[in-house]
Amino acid sequence: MSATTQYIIVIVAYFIAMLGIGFLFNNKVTSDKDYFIAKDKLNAPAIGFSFSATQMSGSTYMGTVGSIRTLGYAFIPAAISSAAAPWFCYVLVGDRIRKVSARLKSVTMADIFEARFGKVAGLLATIIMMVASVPTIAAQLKAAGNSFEVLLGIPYIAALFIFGGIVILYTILGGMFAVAWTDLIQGILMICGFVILLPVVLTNCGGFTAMHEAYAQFNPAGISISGSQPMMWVISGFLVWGFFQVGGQPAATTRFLTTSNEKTLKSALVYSILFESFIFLALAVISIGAGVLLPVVENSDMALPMLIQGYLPPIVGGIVLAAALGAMMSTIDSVLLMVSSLFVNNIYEKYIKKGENAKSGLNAGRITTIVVGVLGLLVAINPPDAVLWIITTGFSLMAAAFTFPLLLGLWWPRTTKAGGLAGIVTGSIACLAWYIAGYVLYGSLSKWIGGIWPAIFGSVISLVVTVVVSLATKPDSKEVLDVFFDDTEVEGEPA
Amino acid sequence: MKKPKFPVVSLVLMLIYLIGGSILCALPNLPAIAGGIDIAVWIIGYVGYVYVILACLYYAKKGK
Repeated sequence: MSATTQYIIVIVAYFIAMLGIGFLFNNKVTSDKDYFIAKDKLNAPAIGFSFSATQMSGSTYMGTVGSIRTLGYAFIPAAISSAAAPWFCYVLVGDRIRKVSARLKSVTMADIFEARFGKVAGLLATIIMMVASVPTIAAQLKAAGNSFEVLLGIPYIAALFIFGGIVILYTILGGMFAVAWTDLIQGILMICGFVILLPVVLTNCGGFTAMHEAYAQFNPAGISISGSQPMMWVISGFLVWGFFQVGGQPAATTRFLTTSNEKTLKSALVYSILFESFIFLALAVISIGAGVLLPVVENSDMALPMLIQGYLPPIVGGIVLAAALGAMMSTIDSVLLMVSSLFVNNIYEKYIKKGENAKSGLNAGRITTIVVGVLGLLVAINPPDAVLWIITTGFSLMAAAFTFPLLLGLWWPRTTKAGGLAGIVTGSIACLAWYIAGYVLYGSLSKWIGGIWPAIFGSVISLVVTVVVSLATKPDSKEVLDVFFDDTEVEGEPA
Repeated sequence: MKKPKFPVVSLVLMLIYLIGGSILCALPNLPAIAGGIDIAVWIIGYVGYVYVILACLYYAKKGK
């Protein structure tokens, strides 16, 4: 049996399993609320793995492996920072969002922004999240299409539609139930993938020390953190990829709306942090090993598929590839669900068809999921080159717009509606302006003035403006503040 | 009305992580100490995960 056939057997089995989960949960979805957040119907492992699997994507498996291989340890601060993102998100906003959303019966993060900062802020947040998220879907699909081409010889376009079609299908069947449980299984598969690949890479490199000695020959500047990149670039990555996930990853932080139980959420944090720490630690070693074992690679995103092809038996390689596909699927399904929930809940039901019942909202949700998925597919047909940089632009925009208004809105009663709205607007504009300035000066969207990430620049502007405008405007009403700053558990919540 | 309590201990641990990590990122020309890598790589790239995991376990247990 050829290697390609063996890869295909494993991947087909994996796809059948994912579709099976979609069908399994189809009967549980009886309303739009079930479809979008499955409120209080998910356990801690599902929530924890789903949060992290959503955050980690094709950019983790493909882009980050390629980047560390090329840049060396200069990228490692960003890696550990990504792993620490659950820590920042759960601690700084998770429990507050849990309580507030239970009180408000929120379905989306935009609901939180609207309740705190008003309708305009809610609508603006909805639009930014939707616009910034669609490229993420395209980027993940691109990564999957490239992997299928390299490993299986399946033409890129065909691979796009097969892979994308399966994700769309199980998402519309099972909604958040299917998304969370497939994320859990995909997370376990991701762990298995790296448990298999890590010792293989280390062994082929001659061990940990020999690997680093060889890597120092391949990329002398990359053997230290400060060697290959400007200091501010490295520090920016360290700060951005962890802390700024608070505002930059609404598809992941939506998980805080899925439970009203404090213990469930705290247990979910433990699952998240253990899962992500293992993945990023293993990934760092594998990536350095990729530099040793694959000194010449045409497209850095292909380093992982080439490692799989060159160093693993096909059935085993199929499992690792399925794990990589799982990373992409877990992000696509969460973003699909988030974008459709934003459209249905924050635009359709509020402005187009007011007062729709749960069943109509469910149908609208499913139709929107299909439309957004197809849009992502169309963009992925002829996308730009680097997966990682497509995603970071959208992430930066959301991080700059939302991080400090969200933090201040949840913790500082003196934040006003005007302050929050001003923070969202100026953060977005400042981030985009910094990207444009970098492009004008250096001809690239990934080179910035002083090496400072646009997410940081935009967020600092957002912070200052939110505080200044809040202090200059009248405090919000007692009704708004009571919703957000009364920490009493909502009546009827499980203990 | 019960006011929300800010998780001060966790915030301090985060600041140590962010400030300490940033300083380590900025240190140039460190010698390799073991395994062919320097102390900054060891702390940020490997030992740092233990710190983050323990900090999360603390928050999950104590909520502070």
